[in-house]
Parts: sequence; C-alpha cells; structure tokens
Amino acid sequence: MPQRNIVEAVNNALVEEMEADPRVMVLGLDVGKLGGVFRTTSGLVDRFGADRVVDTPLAEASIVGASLGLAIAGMVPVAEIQFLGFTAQGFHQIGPQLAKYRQRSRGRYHCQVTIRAPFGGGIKSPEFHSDAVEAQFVQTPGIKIVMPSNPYDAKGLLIEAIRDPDPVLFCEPDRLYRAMRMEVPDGAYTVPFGKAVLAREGEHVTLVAWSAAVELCMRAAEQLASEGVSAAVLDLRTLVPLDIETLCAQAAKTGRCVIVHEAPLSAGFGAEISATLMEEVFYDLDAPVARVGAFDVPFPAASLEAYYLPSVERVVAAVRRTME
Amino acid sequence: MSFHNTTDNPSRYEDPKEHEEARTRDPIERVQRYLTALGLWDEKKAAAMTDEVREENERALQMAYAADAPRPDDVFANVYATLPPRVARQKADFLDGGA
Repeated sequence: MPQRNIVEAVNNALVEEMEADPRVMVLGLDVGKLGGVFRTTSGLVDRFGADRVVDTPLAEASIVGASLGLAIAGMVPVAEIQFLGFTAQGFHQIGPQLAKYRQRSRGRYHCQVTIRAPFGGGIKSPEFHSDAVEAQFVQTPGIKIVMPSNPYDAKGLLIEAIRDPDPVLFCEPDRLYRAMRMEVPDGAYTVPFGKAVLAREGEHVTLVAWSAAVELCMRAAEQLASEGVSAAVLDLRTLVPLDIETLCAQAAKTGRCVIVHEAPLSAGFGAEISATLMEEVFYDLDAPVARVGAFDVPFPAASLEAYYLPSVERVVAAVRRTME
Repeated sequence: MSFHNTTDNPSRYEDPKEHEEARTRDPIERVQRYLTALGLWDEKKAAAMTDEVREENERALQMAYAADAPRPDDVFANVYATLPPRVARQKADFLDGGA
C-alpha cells in the first residue's frame, strides 16, 4: 500500500474527487502553476486545466466570496487560504456569509464549499502565518471545522469535507506536512466527521488534542510512560461536529484529563471541552481538568516560538499536577 | 433620498446644503434623465414601472402577513443539512422546555 505524507495525501484526495466529480474545482493564491505554497495542489493544473484549478489574486475575501457564488451556481469549490491567520481578511465571507447562507436563504441554497488552510507554529514562519484561530469559527455556526493530525485522516476527512453539503473549514497542520508517512490507500475513502479516535491507549490520564497537538501528545505520552504514567491520547479530528460521547466516555474512564492545543489558552477550544466535561462527567473525575495551550500573547517571532507553543515539558507538567 | 432608518436624524449631522447638492446627483434621477435623452424613457414608462413595483411590494407584504408565524424551533432550521449532535441536543432540550 502506498506511503504518503500529509501533502501527498491532500493532493491525492483532490485528484480523486476531481476525477470523480466534474463540479469539483480548486481556487486560491498560487494553487495552479506553483502548485500551492506547500505544493499540496502540485500537478493539478496540468491534469485538470486552468478552468478547474484557478490562480486567484491575493484577496482572501474574494477567494471565499467567489467560492460561495460558484457553489450556488452548482460547482463544488475547494478554496485554499494560504495560512489560517489570513482568514482575517476573509472573515466576513466565511462566518457571516458562507456559514449562514443556507439559513439566510431559508434552505433554498446551500454552500458545498471546502476552505483548506494550513496553520500552526513550529516552522518558523513570519507573523500572521502561524495563528491557530480555529476557535473563532466555532462561534460562526453553519460551518464545520476539521483538524486532521495524520496523512490517512487528512485524505479521508478531506474527501468527506468535499462531499459534505455544508461549508467546511479544513485546517492542515503545516508542521506535520512532511513530518510523517503512513499507509494511505489509493482510491476514495472517507473518515466520518464527529468521530474522535484513540491515538494511544492509556489508563491513568487522557490527553485530548487535535491536529499537530496530537503528535505532541504522543511524544508526551511516551515520556510519561517512562515515568510509569499511562496516558491515552484522544484525537478529536473535528471540533464541529464534536464527538461528545467518546470524549466524555474516555475522560470518565481515566478520571483525569489534560487538553492540549496550539491556540492561546483563554477561550481556546480547550475551554469548551473542559466546560463540557464539567457538565457531563464531573462526578467521574478524580482531578480537575487541566489545559495546556499557547500563552495569551501574540504569536512571537520565530526565534521565540518554541517557548510560546505547548511543549512536551509543559504537557508532562500538567499531567503530573493532575496525578497529585 | 431618505434617512438611514426611523431613528436617524440627519439634521443633527448633515449640512442642508450638502443634502441639496447630493440631490442633484441622485443616481436614480440621473439614470432616468440619461435614458430620456436617449429616447428610451418617459413619464408614462416611469409611472407604469412605479405602479408595477408598488404592486409587487404590496403582494409580497400581503404574502408575508398571511404566512404562518415561525415556530420557535425554526431557529434551528436550515443551519446544516444535518444538525451536529450537540445542536440537535440543544433543539431537543429546547422543545422539552428545558434550558
């Protein structure tokens, strides 16, 4: 079975869906001739032509707005915003427009649009590029939020996103784009939304994460194992829809829970998870739910990002606190 | 040209001279003058279109008045093709009279 990294898995998903459905198209800055800033759309323009792989101006609002119009006209656009932090320039088109269009038209129209956006720190990119703003979009109901952590899920979740009748924000962890390879089969398959998966079994504590933070938690769990602490790692995969059932069952099982994300701590999605666990499984918990996020400061210069982002040390320290 | 809404009061911030000057550039009137100069428009056509638009608005208003009032749980309608479980639960709780 072919081994693929996340870049290749995303590319393969786009090829599969564009082959299968002539309505599927790609648009964004440099997605054509260059093949995308991370080369995820490499080769698509040669294969499918410039009518279906469209190089756009540097204009995030227009990229999303055009996608909305294309969807209403019957196309299935996959838009690329080069970095999630740049969605600020397109926010009105994503939240107030795209996410609400089904409701605003009383169901007459829906927007089968996927917005792909690389994000996250750890690659020493300049300011605005690394911002983990996924939680902002949880506050704009109508759009689903997908956060793959590995190549297999990236392909299956992207195909699921493209086929979903509603808009999807598909966030790709740029730090992991080429960091791992795994078996990613040829041919279309889907990974369903709202199904969290246990990335590692464990007895004493559950680490809850998504996207690149899953990889971080796997390393932390490895270190904890050497200290005699058995940590499970739960990969949420999607924030909207949220797999409350698996989340609560797993937290109740271990009785201890640490949520890890790259976004600033305050009002990050970890706060939502923590509140959910309070509401649902408070009496099954042996310790307060802990959170590890980035600090509540702007994403710093590249030379400082290692201190800003959650680290194995900070995750392990949080676990030790919950074990006391 | 009219106010922004019924709570607006342009007399508090707008110079009447500016308003009069802006009236001379009213785009609807300008287009009508332009089309009249081309021989494509006259008062008869303007009156007919005004009547037609007024009737269309009136029909729309009557249709809206005659429509059933929305059901409270319509706030959940047409947000997603399929409600995510969390939102479905909010809807069920709401219908149940709970929080």
